Amino acid sequence: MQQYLDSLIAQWGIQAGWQVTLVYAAGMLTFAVIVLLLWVAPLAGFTSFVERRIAARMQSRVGPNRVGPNGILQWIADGLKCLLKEDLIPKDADAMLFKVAPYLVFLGMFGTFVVLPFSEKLIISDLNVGIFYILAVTSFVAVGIIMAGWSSNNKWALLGGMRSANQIISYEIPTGMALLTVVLASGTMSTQGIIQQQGWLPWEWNIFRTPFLFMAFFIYFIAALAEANRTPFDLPEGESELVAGYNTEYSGMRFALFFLAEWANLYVIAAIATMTFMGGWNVPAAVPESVRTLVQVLFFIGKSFFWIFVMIWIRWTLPRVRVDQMMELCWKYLVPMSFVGLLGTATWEAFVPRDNPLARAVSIALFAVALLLAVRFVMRVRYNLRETQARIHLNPIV
Amino acid sequence: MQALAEYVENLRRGATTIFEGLSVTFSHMMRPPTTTQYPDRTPKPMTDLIPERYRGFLWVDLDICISCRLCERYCPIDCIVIEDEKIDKILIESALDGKPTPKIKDPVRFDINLYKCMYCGLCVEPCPTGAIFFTKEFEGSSPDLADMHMRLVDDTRRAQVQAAAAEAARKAAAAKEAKAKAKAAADAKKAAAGEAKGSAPEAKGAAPAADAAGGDKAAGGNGSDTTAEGGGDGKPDANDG
Repeated sequence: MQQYLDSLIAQWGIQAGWQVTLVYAAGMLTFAVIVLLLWVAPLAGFTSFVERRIAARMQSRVGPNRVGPNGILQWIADGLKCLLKEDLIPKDADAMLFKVAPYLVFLGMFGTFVVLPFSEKLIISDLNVGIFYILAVTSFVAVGIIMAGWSSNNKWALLGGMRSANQIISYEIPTGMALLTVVLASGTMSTQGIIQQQGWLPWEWNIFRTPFLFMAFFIYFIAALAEANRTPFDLPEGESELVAGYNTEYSGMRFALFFLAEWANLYVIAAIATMTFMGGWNVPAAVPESVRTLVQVLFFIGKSFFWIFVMIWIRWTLPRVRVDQMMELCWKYLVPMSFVGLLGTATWEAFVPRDNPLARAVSIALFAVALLLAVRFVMRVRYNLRETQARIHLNPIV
Repeated sequence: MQALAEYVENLRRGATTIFEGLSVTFSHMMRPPTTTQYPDRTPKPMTDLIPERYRGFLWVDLDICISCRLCERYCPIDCIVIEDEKIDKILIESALDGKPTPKIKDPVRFDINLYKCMYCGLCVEPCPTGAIFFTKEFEGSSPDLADMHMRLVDDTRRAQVQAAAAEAARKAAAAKEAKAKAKAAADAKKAAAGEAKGSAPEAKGAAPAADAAGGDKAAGGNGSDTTAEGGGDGKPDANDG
């Protein structure tokens, strides 16, 4: 994007000074609006629809299917409803903080899109501190949630906000450590750099590179679920305990912003997992130049959507954990294991060269383990279907 | 060492149980939904799918309602309001046992506030003729709360009932007048008989007085009927009865 703006500046004959800054600012705003309108908002909305349909099928229901063909426009109806509702601010709330909080949450999610790549060329800015930037900017979410909980002047909201603070700050450590493991293995913090040093074949991905990275992937995924307040770690908004947690007092578009951030966050987590562990946009070298970008985008989004599906699937499988269990999982299991992963990767990188046949053998062995797990999983699913003598109905349209 | 074994065992159990749980939910995703899609894709009409003793909206068969007001009295939240008028005695067939039951009153207003109704069924049980009953209707969603206030007696029926009541009252008054006249005639006869016994002047004064009293009474009865047509709140019962 910067190259494009630089070429524009050169074309318009602008020398230097405030005009250049203006062009950069205008360019950034334009890109932000394009990403927001064409990608983030429809993605979050559509993910909400897909989640509801998947949830329905997992619970043997039909799900939303009235608005548009097969309910596909349900998210637009929901968004319009939220837009038309009254923007209510409670009398005893801290009005200023109450108004600002949803924007901070949204900002924390939306800021990560600066460094999330879609293809080799499609990226807003390839920062050389990309991973660090992601970890830093997502902290806004914690601030926004605590702000929402505090300013609502409501005990449910405050409890939700406090739980969220405690949860997000705890799980920052395993998330950061797991990503740091990748940084250590890749030798760069730039998101494009991390993708470029992986290949398109599964055993060339970071996840199968060393056993420590394999472990780090699961640590990252669990910790990211907790950071995004997803089930089984949805304590901050536990419906059965806290009404709706930190967003109890919100209504209208501010309420919708929280949920926009929540569902867009699914994509952010999935995209980071894809980028750091799953080979990102790497495509076979045989793909012709003319469709390369398109295929890369499809690869990246396809892998990301798979992880979005996994997160939705986990949500409708596992019950919510208790607060003490959540903390125990973090401090007794994830944090020590992430340190083991970090030290192990450091040792591995020091003693095993990159293109060693041994390293390649380990990668392929890990991939085989993953394949075996997948086969075992398919067998378990077949067993479950056979035991209940269920009729199979694969068509998503009921 | 034991702690370490426990730690590893916890990890193993966590991983395997989550794996199993994921396979169960995934297998459920591949099964057809078990729910029936309401309302337009049900296999049969909704009323055929609802059980026999379902408590839907209340309804009253006004033709067999004898306006005994038991339902109004038994309703724990007073969501039934009845006003009635006295009519000529007719025999109706009870919906419970088919026995003929006398009906001397007909409601001119029978309101059920379904918004307040809690579907307890306490009004249905005491009803002597089975006039009030639960239907299988349950779709009450409406943009206006007033739609839930059911007024079972419509204007045409009220007009009919009031006409019948006026007719009945007129007949009753006429009958009373005739009775009074007959009584006056009888009194006069008695007086005549008394005169024959010897106290003629006293009896002659008493007979016209009895006539006048009978006339007044009839006039009073007519007057109360006209007010009943306007207000209709059970006053004629008090007057006539």
